[in-house]
Amino acid sequence: MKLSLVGIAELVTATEALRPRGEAVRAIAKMCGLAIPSSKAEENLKDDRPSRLDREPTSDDDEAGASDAQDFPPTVVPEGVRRLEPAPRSRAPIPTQADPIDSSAAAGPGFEPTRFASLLREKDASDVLTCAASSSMPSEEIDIEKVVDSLARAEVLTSYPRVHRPSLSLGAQVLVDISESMQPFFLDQQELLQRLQTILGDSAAIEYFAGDPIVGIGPQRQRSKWRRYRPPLPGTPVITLSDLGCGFPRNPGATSTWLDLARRLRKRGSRLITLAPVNARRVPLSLRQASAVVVWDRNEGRRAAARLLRDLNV
Amino acid sequence: MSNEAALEEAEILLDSYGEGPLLRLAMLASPACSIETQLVRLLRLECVPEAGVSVEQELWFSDLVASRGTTIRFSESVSHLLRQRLRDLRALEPELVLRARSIMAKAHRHFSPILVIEDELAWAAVFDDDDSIRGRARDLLQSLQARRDGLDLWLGRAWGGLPAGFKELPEGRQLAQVAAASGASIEAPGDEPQAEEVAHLLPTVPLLIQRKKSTLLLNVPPQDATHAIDVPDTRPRKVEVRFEQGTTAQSRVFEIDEVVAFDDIGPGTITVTTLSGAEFDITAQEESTVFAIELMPAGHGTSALIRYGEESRVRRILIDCGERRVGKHILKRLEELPPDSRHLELLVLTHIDANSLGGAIPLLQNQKLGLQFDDVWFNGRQHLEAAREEN
Repeated sequence: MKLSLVGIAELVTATEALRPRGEAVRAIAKMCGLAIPSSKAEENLKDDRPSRLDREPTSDDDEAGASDAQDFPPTVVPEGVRRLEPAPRSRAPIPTQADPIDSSAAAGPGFEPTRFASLLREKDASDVLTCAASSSMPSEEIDIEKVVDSLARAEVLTSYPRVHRPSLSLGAQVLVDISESMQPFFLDQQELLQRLQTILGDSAAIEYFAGDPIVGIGPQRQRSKWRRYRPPLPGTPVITLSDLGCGFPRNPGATSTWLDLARRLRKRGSRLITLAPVNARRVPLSLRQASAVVVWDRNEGRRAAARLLRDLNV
Repeated sequence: MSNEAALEEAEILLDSYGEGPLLRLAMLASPACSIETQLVRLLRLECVPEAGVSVEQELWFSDLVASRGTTIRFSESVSHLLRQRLRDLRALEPELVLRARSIMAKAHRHFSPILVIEDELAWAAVFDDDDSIRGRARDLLQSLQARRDGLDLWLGRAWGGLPAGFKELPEGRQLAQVAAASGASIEAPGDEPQAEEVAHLLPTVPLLIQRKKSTLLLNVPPQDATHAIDVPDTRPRKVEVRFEQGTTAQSRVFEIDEVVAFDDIGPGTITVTTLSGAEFDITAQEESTVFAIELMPAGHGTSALIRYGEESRVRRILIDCGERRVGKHILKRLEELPPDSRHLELLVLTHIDANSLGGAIPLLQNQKLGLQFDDVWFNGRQHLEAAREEN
């Protein structure tokens, strides 16, 4: 009896190490002084895991062993359990039917996608952007009134004063806010950028920022490539597509940042014009006085364009 | 959180927004399967023109929203209440609500047909249009039987937001089974699951059975099973069992969430029928013998549980218990044995070494387990001396 049990321990060690199959199991058992009576035992010794000899032992071994314990209710049929097939008389599954839901309607031929409903009407958008991107520049035309006035005062004219007209020649720096609060206006920003590029061509310098442009801007959305803010050439207008931190959720610290930026730009003769998708009453008065804030919404377009033109003093 | 509590919380949340344009906009958008920025824009401009642009952003970032990405989604309870309020609004301003419905239909017409149906069902509930709901439920069931790709996944995702009137229909209760199999949490399905038309489309799970001369046990643990059949994964899982008792034919229907036991049913064939109509004949097997070696986690050592003998009276031997750190796993395995099987014939500790003995210490210290051994073989001094004397 003792000999048999020693044999069992040996058999256990051997099967664990060698993972034998079929006759090999019986042969090893015989060497250990044991006899395996039925083929069921062989089934029970089956294991598809690789032999421990084939792999490095890992710290997960005991965890894996623990998860070998079978689930209840089970998700797999344990080895040695007879899996039954349904009797032939079983009810036949309900045959496949024709699908009553028509797939061809959506995006089929003749389908026209819904037109994008932008925040500004097409005409207003062009007017607002043209006015925002304009700077006051001397034209070819001589300012007769000024000439007459100077001559009447017996002043010497060293050059002819020129009439100032709105001009797009300086282009514009366009700052696009991609902070989370502007997420609902992503498509509007895209649409407006396309329009700006149509109006200004290559002279629209588009830069992205998140909340605060002073912290970092860049020509791509990838923040890792952003650099510190650099203002454009003196006189060049700066157009911002941002809620100035006045939207939802509100960023109270943003106002001072924008006031600083407006001051810096004013010193360089540049205007700061913001298209803000927020109601006017949400923007602090100080900010509205320090820069041109256009409420980016349907009913504001025409008025905004006129105001921007007036601000140019031309 | 329970349904009632979630609804109560949502009610308070909605009230906190008053009756301003934000709530109006949220109500009009609530039947949408997906609320994208353009839909919010169109609804604001056409249906809530008094609201400024800020309301779009306010809605997007409001607490009504449960998830936001390129689209937003209200939580189920918020959506439910918003749609209820939309029904009330329809009574007062039918043209406005009709306009919102038409805007949404136009904005979503490029969506997949199933998503369009999701919108339509929500609107039908707002307009108390039971015929549309019934028609769409039939279409969806038939489409499912036609094996439309992705419909099951959609049911799993959208189920919570579908109208109650839809779920209560016979077709809806059939579809509930598919929704549940796709991960939806379905409300109390009732005692009688409606699954006959969809059961064959559901994934199956094994039902483990123990059939002996005069007994039948359903849903037994793996180590006690003699047979397995595949049953559709319905909620609840049910089977019908037919057998002869004496001269009488018996037929009973069982939920199989727990072990179901039949005693004294004789050795004849027992038929188990699943909800998909599959019939399985189960006959008692001759009592067979068992010989199984189960290797247990043992770290760098070895531990084996040997089962042998007749199936009705299995004997167990535990050989070595591995390292101490794995003792808990062996303990866990032995805990899985029914209490009356925790009486082991023998514990063998093959040699004095931490990787054989370590795991035995927590095992033998554990009083709760009720583990008993008829004998312990251990090559300590007294054993070695006894062996020497014998030789």
